[in-house]
Amino acid sequence: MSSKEPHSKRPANTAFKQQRLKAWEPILTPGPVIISFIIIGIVFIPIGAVMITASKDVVEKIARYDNLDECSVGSVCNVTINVDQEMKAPVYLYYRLENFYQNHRRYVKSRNDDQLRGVIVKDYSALQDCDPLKSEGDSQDPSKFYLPCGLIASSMFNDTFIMRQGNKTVPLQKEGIAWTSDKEKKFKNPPADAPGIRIIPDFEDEDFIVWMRTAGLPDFKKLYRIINQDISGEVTIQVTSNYPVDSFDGKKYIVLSTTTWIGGKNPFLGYAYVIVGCICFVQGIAFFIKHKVSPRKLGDPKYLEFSK
Amino acid sequence: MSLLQSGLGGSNNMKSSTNSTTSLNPMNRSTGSHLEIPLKELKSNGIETDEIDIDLTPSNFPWYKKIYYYITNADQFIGVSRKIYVLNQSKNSEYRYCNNYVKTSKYTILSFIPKNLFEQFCRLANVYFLIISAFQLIPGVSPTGRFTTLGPLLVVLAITAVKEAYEDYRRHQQDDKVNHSRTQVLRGDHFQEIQWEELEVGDVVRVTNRQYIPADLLLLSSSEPGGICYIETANLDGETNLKPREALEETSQLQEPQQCVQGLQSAMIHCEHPNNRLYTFSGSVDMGNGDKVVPIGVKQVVLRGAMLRNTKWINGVVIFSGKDTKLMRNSIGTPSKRSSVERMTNIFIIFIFTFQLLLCGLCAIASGLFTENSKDAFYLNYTGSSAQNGGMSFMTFLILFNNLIPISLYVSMEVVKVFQAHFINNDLDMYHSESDTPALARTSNLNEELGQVGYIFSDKTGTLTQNKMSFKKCTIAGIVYGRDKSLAQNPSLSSITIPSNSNGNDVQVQQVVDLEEGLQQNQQQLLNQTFSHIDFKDPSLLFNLANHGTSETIREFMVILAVCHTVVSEVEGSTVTYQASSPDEYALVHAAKHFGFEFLSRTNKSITIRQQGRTEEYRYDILNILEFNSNRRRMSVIVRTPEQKIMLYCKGADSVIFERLSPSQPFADKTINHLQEFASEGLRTLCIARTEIQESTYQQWSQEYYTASTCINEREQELDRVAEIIEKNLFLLGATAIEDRLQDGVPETISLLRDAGIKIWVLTGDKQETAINIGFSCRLLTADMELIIINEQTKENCIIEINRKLDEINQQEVKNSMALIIDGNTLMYALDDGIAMSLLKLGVKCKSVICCRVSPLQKAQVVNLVRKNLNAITLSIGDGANDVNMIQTAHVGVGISGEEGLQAARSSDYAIAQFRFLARLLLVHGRYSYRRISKLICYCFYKNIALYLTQFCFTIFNGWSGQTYYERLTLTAYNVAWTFFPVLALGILDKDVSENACLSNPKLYTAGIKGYHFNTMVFLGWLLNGLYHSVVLFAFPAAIFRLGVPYEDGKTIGLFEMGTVSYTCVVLTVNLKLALETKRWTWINHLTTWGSIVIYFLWLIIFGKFFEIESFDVGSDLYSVIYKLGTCAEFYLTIIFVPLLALWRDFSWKYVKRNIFTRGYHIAQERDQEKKRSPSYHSNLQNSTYSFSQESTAQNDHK
Repeated sequence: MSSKEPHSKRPANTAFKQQRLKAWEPILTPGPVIISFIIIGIVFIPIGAVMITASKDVVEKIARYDNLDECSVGSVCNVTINVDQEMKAPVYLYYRLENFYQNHRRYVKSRNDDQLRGVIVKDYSALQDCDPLKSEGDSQDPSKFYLPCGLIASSMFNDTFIMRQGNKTVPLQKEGIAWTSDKEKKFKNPPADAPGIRIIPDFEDEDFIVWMRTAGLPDFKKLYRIINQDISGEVTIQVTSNYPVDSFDGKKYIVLSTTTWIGGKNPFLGYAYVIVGCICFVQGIAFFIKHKVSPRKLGDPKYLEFSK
Repeated sequence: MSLLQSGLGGSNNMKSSTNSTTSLNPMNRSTGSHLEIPLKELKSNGIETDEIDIDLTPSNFPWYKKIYYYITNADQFIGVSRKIYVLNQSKNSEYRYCNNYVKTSKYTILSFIPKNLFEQFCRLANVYFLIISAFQLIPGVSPTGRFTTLGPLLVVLAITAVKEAYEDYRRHQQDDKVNHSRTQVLRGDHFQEIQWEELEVGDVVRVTNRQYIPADLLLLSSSEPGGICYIETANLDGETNLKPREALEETSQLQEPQQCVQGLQSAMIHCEHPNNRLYTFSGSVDMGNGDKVVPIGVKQVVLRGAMLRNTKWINGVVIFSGKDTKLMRNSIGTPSKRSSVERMTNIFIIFIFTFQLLLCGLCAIASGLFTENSKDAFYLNYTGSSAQNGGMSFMTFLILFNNLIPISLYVSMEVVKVFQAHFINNDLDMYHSESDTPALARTSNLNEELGQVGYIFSDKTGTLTQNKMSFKKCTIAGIVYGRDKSLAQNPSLSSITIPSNSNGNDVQVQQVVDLEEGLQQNQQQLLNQTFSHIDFKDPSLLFNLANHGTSETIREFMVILAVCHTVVSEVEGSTVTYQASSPDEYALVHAAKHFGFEFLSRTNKSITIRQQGRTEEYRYDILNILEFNSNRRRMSVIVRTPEQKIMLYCKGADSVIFERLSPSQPFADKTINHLQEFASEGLRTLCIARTEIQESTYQQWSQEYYTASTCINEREQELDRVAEIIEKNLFLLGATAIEDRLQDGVPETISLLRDAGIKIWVLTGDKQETAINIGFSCRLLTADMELIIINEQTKENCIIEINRKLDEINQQEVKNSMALIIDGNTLMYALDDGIAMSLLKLGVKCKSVICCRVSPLQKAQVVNLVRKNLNAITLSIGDGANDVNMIQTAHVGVGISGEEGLQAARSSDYAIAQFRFLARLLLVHGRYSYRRISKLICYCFYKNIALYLTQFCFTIFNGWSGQTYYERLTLTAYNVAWTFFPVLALGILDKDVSENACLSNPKLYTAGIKGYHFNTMVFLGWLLNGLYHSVVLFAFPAAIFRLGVPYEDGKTIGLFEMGTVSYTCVVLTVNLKLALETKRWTWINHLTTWGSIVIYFLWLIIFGKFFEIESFDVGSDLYSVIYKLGTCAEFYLTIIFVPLLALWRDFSWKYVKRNIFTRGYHIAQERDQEKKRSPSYHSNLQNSTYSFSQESTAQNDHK
C-alpha cells in the first residue's frame, strides 16, 4: 500500500504475449491433399505386395491332434504331417492351443516374479497375486508355499513331441526357444534347500519360461523346438499326450513353420497395405477429378456469409 | 441489548443544529445543555449495557459457537452499534476488535495442504477419482495395479496446488508489504512510529502528506484551517479527483500530542458496525466533557487505502481496522460464474459416467456368464459362485474404465484459461495508452463465454460516450445560446419526427450554418481540442449579459453554476485547477469561469467566487449541501449570499425540477422546447432553478435536517425526505446542455458487433430524444429503420400497445429492419409477468433496442428477461455504479475502467478501457478461447475414449475378465505425460484464422453464438470418432499379430507385446489426431507434439531395462519388450499403418468438409494464406496487427 513508483502498465510487446509467435499454418488445400493420397497409394501398394510375397514364401503345416482317439490324455500317439513343399532350415515346431484363455485376468496375474527369480519369499501376503494357488491348504507356513505359486505355473503345458522322418529321429533343439532376457534375468532356480512345495523342478527350463510369457489371445501358438535341417516329405510326430483340454473345450495342434523377415505366415498386413493403398490412390484420383471438374474457388467470399 | 438501543435512540433524537452550518443560532448551546440529561442516562445505561455485552463476548460463548464462528469466520459484532473508547485499549479490548493486520491470502504454510485439498475435492470429478483410487487399494480387484488412478490424480492435484500456492505466495508478499508499512501513532504523549499491523481500534494516528491512510479513521484535526484535508480515493473507487474531508469543530483544535491526550482521554465514539458502504457513514462522538454528543458522517471519515493530499498532516482515531475497514469489506470477490461450455461439460461427464456404469454392468454380466461356462476349466481354478465373480468384476471394470472420464480435463482447462486470461491482460491492442490502462480479465472462467455472446446490453454514458463533458449550449430566461451543431447530430435525424422547435417563439437561435461546414468544424475540434470542457461559440451571451433585459437572470444563472456544485479547487501559484467527481459539474464550473464567474476556493463553510474580471471576491456562506444521488437526480446548496439572503440553488434533471416549480413560471414553456431541442441533438441537459428561503423557515428546517443527519440507521432516506421539504417553490432560470462525445471507434465497433450477429440493446438513464440521437450517431439506428417507440403511462395501454406492434410485425410481409425504443415508465409495466414475453418477442424481432430512463434495477431486469427466456449468452457492459446490477446479472459482465470510477470494473468479469476494445475482446479473444476450449474438452474426452475402449475390446477376448492390455505405469502416464502437453499447447496457442480475419469477417463469430463448435452433436461426433479409432486401434494390431509369429527367429508374441503395439498405435494416433486439429504450428506445438511421441518411445526404451535395477522391479511386464519388438519388421509396419488407417477417416472428412460443406472459417483460412503468400504481406505485417485501430481512426477522418 506504500506509494508506488509511477510506471506504465503497457503490456510487453513480445511475440508470445501478443500471440505473434512465428508459425506454420498448413491448410488442407486440394493440391497437397491429392498428392498425399496418391503418394500413400503409391508407397503402400508395393509394400503390401512385398509382404504378401514374403508371407507366401513361408511354409506352414498344422495338424490338430486332441480329437484323434489315440491321442487322448495319458496315451502316446503318432501324428503324420505331409510336407509337400520343402521347408528350409531353420524350421520351427510349435504347439497351439485354442480356447485357452491365457490372457484371463485371473490367470495373468497369478504369478510371483520374486519366486521366479529365485528369491525365497517368506511373507505369505507377498503371494497375494498368486491367488488361488498360493500354498497347500492356503497355509502361511513357508514350507507349504507352492514353488512357484500361481495358476500359470501349475497349468504348464506338458505334452511332449518327438519328430521322426522315416525311421530317423529328427533332432529338436530346445535352446533358444525362450527370450534370452527372460532366461538371464527373470527366471532363476531357488536354492536347493529353499522351503516349499516344488511345482516346477527347473525354473530355468526354457519350455517353462516360454509358457510363463502369457499369450495375448485365447488362440495361441508357443514355440516348442527348433529344427535345424530342411524338411520335406512325410514326417511323423510322436505325441505324449498329458494335457487335458476337454474341461474347457480346448483344441491342441502341432504346427511346423518356417519364417521370413516378417515372421511366420501372415498375409493379413500385406493385404491391408494393398487395400488401403488402393483406396487412397483411388480417393486421390477422385478428389483430383472433382477438383478439375467442379473446383471450389479458394477463398470464395460467398461462403463467408454465414448462412447455416 | 434493548437498553443500549434505547440509549442510542435517545442520542439520535437529540435536536441540535448541525455543526456544518455556520451556526448563528443561540439556541445551540441551550439545546446542547438541555440534552445533558438523556446523555447522562445514556452513560449510566451504558454501564449496564456493557455488562450485558460482556456476556455476549466471544470468550463467553459456548465452545460449539466458538468453533462455528471460527469456521464460518462470521462477523461477531456485539451490540447494535460499535463503541470505541479513544486511547483506552483496555476498555476496547472487551469488544475484541480485530487488529489492523490484513490478510488477503487464503492459506498459511500449515493450512495449505488441508485447505487446498478440501477446496479441490469440492470438485466432483476429483472425488470420483479419489473413490476409484480407494477401490484400487482393495486387493485383487484392480486390473491395473494400485496407483493407476491415484498417480495421475496426485499429479493433477499437485499442478492445481502449485498454481494456487504461487498465487497465494504473491498475495502473502503483498500482505506483508502492506502490514509492515509504517505509520505514527500516539503513545504516551508523543507520536511514535509503528507498523500498520500493530494499530488498534481507538489509537490516534498521524498521517502526513502523500501517505496512505492505514485504517479507517475519524478525522480529528489537520494542519489546514478548519480541519479540512483532501484525500485521493483511487484505490477505493478509482476516482482520482481530490475529495475534501473536514474535522469536527469540537476536535479540530486537537493538534499536538498533549492536546490529543487531554482532549480525548474520556472520549467515546459510537458508530455503525463495519460494512462495505463507501459513501455513507453514521455515528456520533461524545467528547466526555459533558458537552453534547456530536454526529459524525462520511465527511469526517478517511478510509484506509486513500491517500492524503494537499494537507501537511492529519490526526485521526482508528475506528475500523484490518478486515473491518471498508476497503477490505469491498474486496470480496465477485460471485463466481461458470461458462455455458463448462456447464455443458459437466452434463457430458454425467453422460459418460452413466455410459461407463452401463458398460461395466454389461461386462460384469458377461463375466458372470463366462465364469459359469468355464467353471470346469482347470487352469482357471474357479472358487466361489459365478454371480459372486461377476459381481466382484463390476468393480474391476469400474477401475479399468474409470478414465473414460478424462482425469486431466479440469486441470488442462485451468491451465489453458490462465494463459488465455494472460493474453487478454497483455494485449497491446486493448491497451489504452492515454489512461495507461490495459485490459483486465478478473476471472478466467468465462473466456470461452466471450466467444458466444448473443446479446450485449450497454450503458450509454461513459460506455458509448467518453463521459468527458463539454459545455455546449444553454437556455437562459427563454433564450438559447450556443449555435454550434453538436457532433452527435446526424443528418439522418431529419427522417424521424421528434417534436422540435415549437413555432412562433422568439428564439434567437443563430440558425445552423452550412451543415457540411459544421461537420468540418467538428472534425477540426475533435482533432485539436479533445480535452476542452467548453465548446461554446456565441458572443450573444456575453453581449446580453452586459446589457439586455434578462441580464440579471443570466448573472444569477452563472452564479448558480459557480456556486452549486461539489467541485474542489486546487490553487497552485496563480492557476486554479478543479477537482470534480462529476464530469458534468466540471464542465459547468469551467463554463461559469469562461463567462466571467470564476470559482476560486471553498472551505467547509463558504465558497468564494470572482465576477467578470473584477478584483473583489464574493463569499457565499454555505449553509447546507443537499447532495446528488441517483434517486434524487438533483443537487442543491443553501447559501447565504453576500446580500445576506438565504437562497437555495438547485440543478437537476428536468423531470424532477419541473415537479418542484412554483406556479407561475415565465420561462418554463420556452425552456421545455429548448430542452427537447437539446436532447434531440444528443445533449445532456440540466435545469437550473433557485428559490429564496425565509430566515425563520430555514431555521425550522435546519433543525429537522440536523436530526436527519445524525440518524445512525437509514440516514440517507431521512436526508432525502428532509431535502424534499425545502426543495420546492423553485423558480426556473434555464437549462444547460452538455455534450458527451462518443468514444473513438464506437460506431465501427457497433456495426462490427452487429455484423457478427450480436444484438445490441442500449439501456440508458438519458431522455428518449438524447438516447435516439446517440443511437443514430453510433449507428445503432439507421435511417432505413422503422422506429417503434412505446411510451405508455398505464399498464393497460402498455399491454395493448405491445401486442398491437407485435401483431403488426407478424403480419408484415416484407420485413424492414426495426428498432424498439421504450422508456423506463413503460418498462415498469412491460416487465410484469403478463407481457414480459411479448416485449421480449418484440425486442428479438428488432435489430436494436434502446431503453431510456431506466433505473439500475430495471437494467438488471431487462438483462434477466433475456437471460432467462432466450437460449443466448448475455453480456453487460457499463462503467458506473448504476451498471453494477446488470453487470452481475448477465452471463458476462464487462466494466469500462473509465471516468466514473471503478465500481463497475470491480464487479465485472472483464475490464477494458474503451468500448471499442469490446470488439477485439469478443471477436478475437472470445472466439479463440471458445474454439480452443471446445477443442480441448472434446479432445480430452476423445483421447480417453480412444484408449479405454480398446481395453473394452480386449476384454471381449480375454473371457470378460477385465485384464488390462497395457502395462500399468505406462498406462498411468497416458493422461499426464504422453498426451498432456500437446493439447495444452493447442488450447493456448491455436488460431484457426488470423486475428485480422476475425475482425474483418465478423460473421465468423456467429458460429459461436449458435454454439456450433461445442454442442451435443459435436461432442457425440468426437465420441464416435473415439469409438471408431479404438476399434481400429485394437482390431488391427490384434488381427495382424493373431497368428502369433512376427519374429524372424520363430518366437511367438505375448500379451504385453501385443498390448504395447496397440498402445503405441494409440499414442501415435491421438497425438497425430491433435496434429491434424492444430491449425497453427509454432515451435511450442512442434516441441510438445513430437516431443510427446519421442518421450513415449524413450520411456519404452528406458523402462524396458527397469527390471534389471534391483529396487525398480516394477517393470517386469514390459521388461525387454521394446527390444524384442524392435527386431520385428511387422511392428514398424503396424505402427505406421494403424494410425494412418485410423486417421484416414479424419483426414478425408476434413478435406471433404472443406470442399463440399464449406464453412466460413475455411474461407478465412484460405484468404489468410493467400495474403501471406502475396509479396506485400511481409512489409504489411506490422500494420496489419494494428489495422483495426487504424481502420477506426481512418474512418473517423472520413467523417
